[in-house]
Amino acid sequence: MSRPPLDPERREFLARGLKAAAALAATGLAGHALGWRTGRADREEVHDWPVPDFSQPAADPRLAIVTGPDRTTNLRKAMEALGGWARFVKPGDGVLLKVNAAFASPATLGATTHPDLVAEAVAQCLRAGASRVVVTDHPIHDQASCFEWSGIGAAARRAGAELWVPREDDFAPVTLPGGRLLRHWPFLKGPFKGIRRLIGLTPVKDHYRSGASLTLKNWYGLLGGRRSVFHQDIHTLIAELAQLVRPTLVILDGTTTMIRNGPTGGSLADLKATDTLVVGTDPVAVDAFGVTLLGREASDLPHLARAAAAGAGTASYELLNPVRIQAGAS
Amino acid sequence: MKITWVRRISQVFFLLLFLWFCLVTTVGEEWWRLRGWPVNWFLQLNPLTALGVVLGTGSLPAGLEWSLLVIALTVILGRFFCGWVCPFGTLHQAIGWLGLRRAAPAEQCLRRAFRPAQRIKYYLLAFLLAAAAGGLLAPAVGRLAGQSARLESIREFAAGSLQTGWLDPISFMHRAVNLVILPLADRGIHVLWTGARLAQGAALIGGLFLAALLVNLWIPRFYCRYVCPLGALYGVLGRFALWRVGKRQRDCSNCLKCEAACEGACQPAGRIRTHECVLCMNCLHACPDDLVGYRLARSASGERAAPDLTRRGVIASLLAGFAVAPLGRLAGGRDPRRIRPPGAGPEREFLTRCLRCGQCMRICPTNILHPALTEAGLEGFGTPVAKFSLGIGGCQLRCAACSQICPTGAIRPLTLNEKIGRGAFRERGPVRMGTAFVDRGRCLPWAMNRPCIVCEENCPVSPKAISIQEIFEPLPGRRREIARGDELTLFFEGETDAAARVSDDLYCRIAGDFDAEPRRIIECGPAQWSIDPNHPWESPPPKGSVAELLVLLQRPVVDPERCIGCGVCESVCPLATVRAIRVTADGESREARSGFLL
Amino acid sequence: MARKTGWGETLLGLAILAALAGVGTAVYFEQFRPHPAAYSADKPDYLPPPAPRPAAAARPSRVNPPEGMTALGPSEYFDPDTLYEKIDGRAELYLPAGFRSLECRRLGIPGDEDSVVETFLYDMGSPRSAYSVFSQQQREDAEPRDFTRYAYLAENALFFCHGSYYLEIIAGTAAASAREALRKAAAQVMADLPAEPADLPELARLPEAHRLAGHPRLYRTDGLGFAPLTDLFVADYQIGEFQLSGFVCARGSEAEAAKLAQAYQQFIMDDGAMLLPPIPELPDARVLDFYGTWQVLFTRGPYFAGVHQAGDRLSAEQLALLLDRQLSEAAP
Repeated sequence: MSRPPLDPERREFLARGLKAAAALAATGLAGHALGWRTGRADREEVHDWPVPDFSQPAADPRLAIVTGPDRTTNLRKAMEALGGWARFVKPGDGVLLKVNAAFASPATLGATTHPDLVAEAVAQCLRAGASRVVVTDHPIHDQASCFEWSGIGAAARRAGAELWVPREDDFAPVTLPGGRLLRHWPFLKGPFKGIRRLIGLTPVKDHYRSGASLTLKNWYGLLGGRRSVFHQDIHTLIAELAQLVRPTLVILDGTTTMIRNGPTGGSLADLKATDTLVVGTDPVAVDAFGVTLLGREASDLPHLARAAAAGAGTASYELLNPVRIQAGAS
Repeated sequence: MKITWVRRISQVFFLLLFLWFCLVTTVGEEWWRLRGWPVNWFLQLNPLTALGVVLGTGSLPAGLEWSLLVIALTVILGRFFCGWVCPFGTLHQAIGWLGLRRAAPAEQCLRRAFRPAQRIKYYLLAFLLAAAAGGLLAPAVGRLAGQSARLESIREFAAGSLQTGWLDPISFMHRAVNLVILPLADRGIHVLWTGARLAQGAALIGGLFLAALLVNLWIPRFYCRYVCPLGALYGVLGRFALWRVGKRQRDCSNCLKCEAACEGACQPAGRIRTHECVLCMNCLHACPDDLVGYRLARSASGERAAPDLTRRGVIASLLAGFAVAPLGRLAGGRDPRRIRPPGAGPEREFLTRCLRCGQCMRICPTNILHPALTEAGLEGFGTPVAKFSLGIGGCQLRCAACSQICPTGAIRPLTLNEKIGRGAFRERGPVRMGTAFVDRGRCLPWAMNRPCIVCEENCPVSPKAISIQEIFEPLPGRRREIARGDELTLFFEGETDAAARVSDDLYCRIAGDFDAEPRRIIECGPAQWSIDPNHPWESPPPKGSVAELLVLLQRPVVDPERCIGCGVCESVCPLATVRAIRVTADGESREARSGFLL
Repeated sequence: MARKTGWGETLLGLAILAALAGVGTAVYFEQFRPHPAAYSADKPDYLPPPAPRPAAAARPSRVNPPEGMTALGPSEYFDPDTLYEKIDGRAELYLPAGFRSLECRRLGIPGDEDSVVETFLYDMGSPRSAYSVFSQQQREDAEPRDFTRYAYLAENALFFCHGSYYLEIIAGTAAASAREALRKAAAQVMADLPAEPADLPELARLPEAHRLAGHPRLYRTDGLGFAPLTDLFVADYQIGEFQLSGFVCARGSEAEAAKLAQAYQQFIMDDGAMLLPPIPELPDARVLDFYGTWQVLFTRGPYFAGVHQAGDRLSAEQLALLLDRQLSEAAP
């Protein structure tokens, strides 16, 4: 059996093809050997800080919705409904309370976390055995007066917490794996030292840019750098924050709600008594409920769906069988 | 759709993209500022850069993986980059076309004809790569000779020198656009910068650029054909290209219309020189008999896959390349003006990476980075050095933009923490570019007893690296005999020009033992001086005693432990020609041996 | 040329163009990922030495304490780049309207904590821009005030336009002393800063009948979500059980107004609006059904006017006729 001789053109092409393939393979191998795996073989790594995951294994109940006119009573009832503080704070734990102190505006105007709620949360954490409670936020402008005018600073100190006013070297770069915006971005790392539990504590507010400012938007205050660039793509950013920051618990205070002209408000007329406080382990669910206090739907906040799709929680809060309680005045 | 039109669209697209990247390389968040535009992309696509850096350092800087993609495509397709992507090539082609558009076909044929000198670019390539590879020899020699203490000094001496950037078209064009065209275009309109943007040596860079463009009027794509080492590298890489331009049958009417349209001068009518072909595809449509195609098969009239280089020529080029760096370094010495951007590696390493592309100079917000003329020696010609007297401020404390933008890691990316030396870098301390020295022969308070504390005020380091020595100095010719005096005022006979306007910080003292502490003068008239009423004389000065006019001077002194060499002081010093406080490279943190303190 | 372009060549060409488009798109998306250099540098806030920026301390304060009150610290200043530092996401409302600068200062009556007020003095560049931000954020249950033309008082705060300034004076409480402080602080600013009242002739073109309380809203850009609709005035009406809006927008000439009306009609029809038979009394007006709400669009001289989001046809027609009458009276 004899094969027909290869025509010379064909043979030339095959030879050339083999050589080209060899050249390609050599290129690929060289690239591999030269460290395109890390891509930064020749550079000093930017050491990103891995934000610890503070979330707890899912266990019901995960969400408590308390209605009542008094926020401290509401908080107490909500925590009882969730199984008590002991479920979340173990004796000896360091607890970080991330409040919203973004503006130097009096507590009555509802632009910041209410100092009564801060004091109550601090006291309850300490009672549950926390070794220390740190209260922090990173308002961009004039931090000291933000804590002072909002009353949060005084409330935190009085209740026995440490107030952490961020300094320049408290920030370390963080990267959300797979994230688009949060890459090597400065993040408020300082107050996390020795912390085992992270609790978000924030009021319900309208927000001109992102639709609503709830517990997820609250993490924005942990960012440093020129974070205002993110206003261009705020929903992606909030969704990424939801993946980056996994709290133990979030407390959303809708006792009064800033229903319009947020996030600064300014007028008592911007506030409405909605007499509700939500506590939960799933910030997406908490926010999905919280936005209804503003008379809006979860679908009005694109970041909720994106955060849920990325696995940061569920926007269908009813599926979590929230515990609903009526609390009277204290 | 004609493939040549697609090519033109592609060329214009990449040219505009390139210019856009140059335009937006200013720190900022608006869409027309840096944001996240991949402004280094063209530099990163460049296999010549990648190869040069790999040869010199043994590693591939982040981002340059893109060049592997271009290599792969070139291996398969041939020199597509030259004809379809290269923005410099597009300019050459456009100008060449302008120059020849009215020429007769015979003239076209002549001007676009192949010339043997086209091989020069391959020799240049060999020379440049050999120069970059110098460092690789030292370890090999060391291994042969056994490890010895001298190895380090050999390595240091022979380390590679990356000179590809001088001729590599992408760096060439970045340099010209960044340092010449944009600053020129921005004069008068001030869109990119608030004031006039300067570039040392712009005449040379701009002149070379202009020459490279104008020579196309004589021979189209002159640069691509004779000079471009990147094109030469593509020619070598595309040797086994699967697809290639060629004729379908050996014989044709030999009208040479294909060669009259050829951009690469690759002789498609005869034995095509595939390594010269830039895939312009003009011949496909020029052939009246439709005999030319882009096909898998070789040209029916034969082809020359490799450039006709002589072995002797190649060896000579390589040897010259290996020799050039050590020869340049024999001179030795360290120029005090060789102040590198913050984050720059040790000089030897820096020179194995720096492309002279000018991206760092382009992004520097204060315009202090300039291409070196003589500051960095012959070898470092065109590399970035800080010229604090040229910019509009020193190196800003909270800016590390140049380090982040450098495409090859010649300037290592710094975080602000690392640059300032805080956080995790507190132990290591700040990045120092050099040290400031006060020239006491020119400094106003030192040399001329005139008050000035501009440098101290502007020093951004905390605590300040410039401290102040306060001293009272008598003003010459300002001793006056007192005619009368009370606790607060001294009166003199006659009028003089004693109302010296040198300072608001004038003091007076009575010569001799009388109440020796100087008093501040609040009003210095021609015939009377009034002193600060909070510190009256203890008793009225006696008539006939002599009053001395003093000036309170604050003389700057640099603390070398704190100074980071940022040059803010130099840039604000009021002496415009030669500053009275100047930064030199002494004490720069990138060189272990540059320190001068114990 | 003899050679004809084959389909293979065309296909290849299209593929290459698609690849170019892909590169362009990738570059476009890449630019959203901030470059490390963009944040490792502070904003370039230097200027060449000959023109140094005036030091913050040297800026004259335009917010001064009235008699009986004291300033609780110096003024703070914010420019378009730093506005977000003070009011965060709300900056996006002020910036497109032409915001120039913000000055904030706290004032109070010594010894009376309730009386502390914070004054926000927004320099909007023009009276129109000031009115625009004023009118876009009215509090629903606010009382109008007559001390200046465009003003209202909420329980604890006073909001008003003063020439090209928009002012918010905010107290922490609704106590009587706070309200007194608000009034005094406002009077002081108005006395210190002489300003011409805004000239807004379009306001008079919006009929008064059936109009709900509050000041008509002025959108400097993107009125009704349509970018070319600039300087648009919108007022809310209640006719019968339905709430609806009427709008008026002045242009330089009749032709421009007609062109704008045409463009806007096209814009909402592209979004799915359907043309309906016209109103008999107003034959040149276009009536459209936009997913169950009625829209009326027409022009009178240099004015483009209309009815937006009416719940039924009757109220839409009624308001359109009112608008028409108002505009016809104004026209020569």
